[in-house]
Amino acid sequence: MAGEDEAPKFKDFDARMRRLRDEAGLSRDEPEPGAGSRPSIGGTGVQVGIELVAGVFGGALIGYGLDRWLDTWPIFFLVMFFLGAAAGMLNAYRHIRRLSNVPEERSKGR
Amino acid sequence: MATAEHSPLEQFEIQPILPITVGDLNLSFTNSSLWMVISVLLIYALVMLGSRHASMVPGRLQALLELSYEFIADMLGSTVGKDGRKYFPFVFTLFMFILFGNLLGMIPGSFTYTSHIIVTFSMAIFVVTAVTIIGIVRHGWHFFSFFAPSGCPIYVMPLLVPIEVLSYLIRPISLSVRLFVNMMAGHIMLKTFAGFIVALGGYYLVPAVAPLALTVGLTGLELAIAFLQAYVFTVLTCIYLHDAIHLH
Repeated sequence: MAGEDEAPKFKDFDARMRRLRDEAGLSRDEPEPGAGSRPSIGGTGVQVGIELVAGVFGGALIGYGLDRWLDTWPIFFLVMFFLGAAAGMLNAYRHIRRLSNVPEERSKGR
Repeated sequence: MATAEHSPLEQFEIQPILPITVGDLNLSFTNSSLWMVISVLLIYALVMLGSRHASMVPGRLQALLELSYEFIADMLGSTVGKDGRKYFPFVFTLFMFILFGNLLGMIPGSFTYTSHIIVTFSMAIFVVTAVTIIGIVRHGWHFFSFFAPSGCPIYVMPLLVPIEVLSYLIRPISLSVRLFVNMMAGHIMLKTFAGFIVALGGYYLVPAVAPLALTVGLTGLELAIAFLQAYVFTVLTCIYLHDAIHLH
């Protein structure tokens, strides 16, 4: 019995809430993505460190895999190792940007 | 070995409960699977019981459910925007599964499946693959402009594009390692300090109070980390979704 009886009340309640909010100037609009403050990502130093380590490891791993596949040891391993380190730094940089809530200006060029 | 039984790493051991082998594959039902099933059942019970008698003034279960719903809905709204509503079921499931895994792991004697790299890695690789497919479906070939930062000179492209591609490929690694490392390190720390209580208590009662106090504090910290890491994993998923949908 609860389901059918309650439904219209909910609608009424929603309408009243909206009216009250509008009167108080609290109308809730959908926030623009990225414009408002993004929720900050917890844990500071360690999280960035993981990003750096994952870069080096991931790059080395992908390079090693490519070498095994193409029989070109150690060319890809060496190249990917350094590219991975660079990618890790890029990720860490973006992570810090997100932490400090600075919007990314990647598309504007530097 | 007698010492191995009391190692702080013993808690991470996978023990088969129901051994199943199909061909060369070991598909045993392990303690890890058991706790995954328990957490799925608990989440299902929470959602079903919480929404069964929807009332104006919510009861405890309904309030808990509404709280979790609004938490994820707000997170999706503020990170992804309106387009993110579609992916709510996925993100909600992901968050609840990780959160329950982390929290159930805090029960003494239980098993923390989020402290295994393979579990977190499969979740991370699934997220990144799904996000990539969403991006390609939404933007077609244009999605690959994601890897070429616009506005930079053409002669640095051969260097920049591989770095961007690699930084994208590394995402599942850093995403999974972050959750796994936090859970594993925390649980080892708890076990180690709890072991000091026994080691010191054997001599005098008084010095054992210090590690006991520390263990109590660490338990609180671990509970906070359980929430935080589930939140971080979900927020990063939302950020990746946002990147794939809006392409900067």
